[in-house]
Amino acid sequence: MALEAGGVPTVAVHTHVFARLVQSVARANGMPTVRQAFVPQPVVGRSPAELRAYIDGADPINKRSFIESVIGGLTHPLDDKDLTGVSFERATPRLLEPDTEDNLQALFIENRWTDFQPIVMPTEERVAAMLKGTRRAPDEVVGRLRPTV
Amino acid sequence: MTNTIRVHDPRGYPPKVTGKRLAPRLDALEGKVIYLVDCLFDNSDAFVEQLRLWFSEHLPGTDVRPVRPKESWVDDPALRARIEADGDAAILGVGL
Repeated sequence: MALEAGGVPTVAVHTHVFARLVQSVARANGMPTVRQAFVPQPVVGRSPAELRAYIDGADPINKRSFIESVIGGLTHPLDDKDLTGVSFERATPRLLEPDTEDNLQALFIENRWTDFQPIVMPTEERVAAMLKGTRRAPDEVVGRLRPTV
Repeated sequence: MTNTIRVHDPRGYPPKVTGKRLAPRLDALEGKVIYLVDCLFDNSDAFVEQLRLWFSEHLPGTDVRPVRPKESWVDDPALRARIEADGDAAILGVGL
C-alpha cells in the first residue's frame, strides 16, 4: 500500500485462505479497494509446474482467472471508491462497560479473551501502576504484531 | 450496592483511519516496467519466477524485473524508492 501511496499501481498476490485477513488489513489502512489477486493455498511445497497451474488457473476469491485479476488490477480504471478510500474515526470505546469484577471475569472467559489462567482485571489504575514498573514511557510502542490468524 | 469497575477492552483500541486513494492505473502494460516483488515467503521465489515466465511468454513487450526486499514484512525504503523512481507498476507475491 505504500507503493500505491507513492503513485505506483500495485497488485498484491495472496493465497485464498487469507482473503478475509488481507481485505481487513487493506480496510484498516484506508484502502479497502487495493487490488488483490488470489491463488489456492498452499504455495509452499508446490513444484514450478504446479505454481504455473495456479497462474494459468482461476482466482478463487475474485471468481475470474488469476491473470485477469493481476492485469485488470493494474489497468482497470479507478472509480470513486478507489479515489477516496475509507476513513474511520477513533470511535471504539477504550474501556468496557462497567460491571462487577466477577461478571467481567466471566465476560473475559466467555469471549476467550484469556488463556483461562487467573487474570487481574485491567482497570485504568492497575494498568497505570503496572506501567510504573518499567523505565519506558506509558505510551511508547514496544512492538507491532504482524498480521496473523 | 454491588461495586462495579471499568476495565480496558482487551481487543485493543483501533486507530483513526484516513482514507487513501489508489495510484492511477495504466492504459496498458506494453512497454512498461513492472517490478515483481518476492515477499520472501517459503517458495515465493519459485512463484515469482513462474509469473516472470508468464509475462515473457504472453506479454514480451513488458520489462519485468524480479526484486527482493531485505526482509519479509519489513518496509524496504531503498527498494520502494527504486520502484517509485523507475517502475510503472508492481506485483507483490506471495504474501501470507
